[in-house]
Amino acid sequence: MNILEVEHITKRFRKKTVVDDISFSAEEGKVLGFIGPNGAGKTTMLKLITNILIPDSGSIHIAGFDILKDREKALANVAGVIENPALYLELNGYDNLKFIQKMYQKSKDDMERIVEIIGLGHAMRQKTGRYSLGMKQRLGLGMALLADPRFLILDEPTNGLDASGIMELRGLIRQKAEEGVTVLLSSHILSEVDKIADDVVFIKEGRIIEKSEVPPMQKKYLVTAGNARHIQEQLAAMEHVEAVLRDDSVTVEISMSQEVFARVMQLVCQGENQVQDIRQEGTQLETVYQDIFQEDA
Amino acid sequence: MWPLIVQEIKQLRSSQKNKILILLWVVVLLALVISHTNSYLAYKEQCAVNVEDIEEDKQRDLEQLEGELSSMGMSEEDIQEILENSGYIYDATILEVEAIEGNNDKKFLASAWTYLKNADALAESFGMYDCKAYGEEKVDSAQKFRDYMYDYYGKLEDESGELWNYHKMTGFNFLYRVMEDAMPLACLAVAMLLVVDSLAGEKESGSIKAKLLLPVSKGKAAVARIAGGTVYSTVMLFLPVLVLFLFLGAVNGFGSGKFLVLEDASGMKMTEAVEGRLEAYDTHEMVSLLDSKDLRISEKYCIGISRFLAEEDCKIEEGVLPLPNERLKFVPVGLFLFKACLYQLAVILLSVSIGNFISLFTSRKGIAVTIGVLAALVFCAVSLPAGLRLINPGTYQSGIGVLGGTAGVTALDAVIFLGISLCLLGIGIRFVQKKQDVIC
Repeated sequence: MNILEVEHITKRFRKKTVVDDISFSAEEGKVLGFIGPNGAGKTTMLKLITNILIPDSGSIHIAGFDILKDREKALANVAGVIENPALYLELNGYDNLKFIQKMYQKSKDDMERIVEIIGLGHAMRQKTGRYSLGMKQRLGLGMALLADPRFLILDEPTNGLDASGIMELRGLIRQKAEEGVTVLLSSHILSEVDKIADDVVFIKEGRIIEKSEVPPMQKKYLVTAGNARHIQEQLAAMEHVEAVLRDDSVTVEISMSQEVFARVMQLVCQGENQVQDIRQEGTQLETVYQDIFQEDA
Repeated sequence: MWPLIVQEIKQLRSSQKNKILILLWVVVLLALVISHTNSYLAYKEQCAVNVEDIEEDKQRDLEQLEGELSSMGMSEEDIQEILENSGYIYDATILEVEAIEGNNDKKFLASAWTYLKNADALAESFGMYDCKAYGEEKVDSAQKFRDYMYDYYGKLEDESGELWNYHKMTGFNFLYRVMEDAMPLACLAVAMLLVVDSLAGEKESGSIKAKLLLPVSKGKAAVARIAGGTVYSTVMLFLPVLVLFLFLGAVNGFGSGKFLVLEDASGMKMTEAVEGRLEAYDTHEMVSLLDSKDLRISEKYCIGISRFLAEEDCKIEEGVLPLPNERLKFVPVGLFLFKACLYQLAVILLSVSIGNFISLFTSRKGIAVTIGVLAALVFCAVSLPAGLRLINPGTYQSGIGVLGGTAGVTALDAVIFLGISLCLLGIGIRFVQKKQDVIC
């Protein structure tokens, strides 16, 4: 079942069309990556989904409720962080969480559990206006989680987070997806989306790039081996695989589609090849991104 | 919606900037009280004249006048009338001194009344004096009256130490006058600065959009903001005013449910609504009438009346005598304190309503405050007095003075003003419920 249905949404600011006839959906329990360069219309789209902005045409349904007609019912299923965490900066962390607890009628235990998850500890008693960006992100995420939504929207959630924070967030998003929560993840960090997302939507100049326009996902690996030339020769005959020997003669660059990955690895790792190192170069998403947005780059 | 309102109030209450603004407001009010008190004490000190000295002056001056009039061949009857009328000024001064010493506002009022009577009677006397002295020749009695009054004031100034000049621009008096005029403006500005933060301020920073992710309608979210901002601003601005009024009331008296009304000859009201007519022809009758009605008049009004008589009616610069006629009226207008408080509440609510309304249409705090203050000033200076007069013809105050609200306006004005402010707030809320997207 789709928790989100976006159909033919168009939004203009004065004469400029920022979102142009966009349609897509998000399946329950999946993580949907939302990718595009600055100014592509990502945040505008998120604001349209959450009814912060009103579309000029089209419809948006969340959990079956039309966001324009049943805003309150639709948004009862949604929580998230768009652009900046929605914090009351003059209040401390607890007061901000308590507000959400009351709004969504959650228990104190729920709140305490969230406090533990976001790991802000003693900082919960400080005014949130004094928080670092990362702390604000953590609290904003905590507030979204406390609402216990069916649909979680995260706009650049890793902004300001440290390495451990990013890893925790990654785990949290996957955990939520397993619990049946749909996550719409908008991020500039392609590797993050690549690691978490089940599906990806590319947006360019206010339009969704159709599946047919998206080049097939390619994985690229650098294999260092005593017998690199032999690896290159073995793979040359395979379909959907491109193997190029680098100038150092011990490294072979392999590009392949997802479906042949296992077979290629089996071949490469044969003992006679004397493999010393296998390293992934770039992410498949980066490759696709480069292909789609090459002109912008 | 309640959690939203409460959260908004909590947020505004915790703001360091708002705390400073409230503190500033309290300082303004305290400065007003201190300067007012000092001005009043200075006045009392200046008025500390020995009553016996005035009696002596009266005796001496009247004897001198009587000699002069006799030498002019005036009849005994006319001389007596002129002397009686001239004596009023001394009676009035004595009453005023006694009133100040005994903190007796009835005597204050009576002294004001005596000055009033005196001015009228003296004009008649001098007209008669002119006729008797110069036959049928047309004489500028006004000029003579003015000369006489100037002489009188000059003398009074020498003897009693600037009795009428208590309000001259000494440091404290200057501060008092400035504060008296600045208070409504300060109130407007502080109210605007407080209230625009919750709407225009958050629109400017963009944080309001993120908060619209909550499962409530935008209309409710906007109303919660407006309500939260209004409650916080009103309470925080009105509380010090209330404390101030209670303090002043405890120190100086709360005033009565009755209010003095004076009209001049042209019918211009010094104060307000007319109901019934009370006539008093001499000082003693005046005091006994006040006693019989068990009235207690706020001394502020008495001082105002005295000042008015001294500054306005007796200033005869164009050769005419714009003297007040003999009408004194009392109208029930509610407790002075109650009225003044209502008025301040109305000013605050008006400012807050306008601030909220402007904030809906702009996302720039500075613009919202500037336009808000200007709009409130224009409204208060032009529309409000005209509107009040339309509803309540007794309204005296006009222009920006209507914002002061502590003198010259009735309780009815205050109630009407409060009603208008609440209506504006209601219109703002209704508007935002219909045009929900203005909050973004």
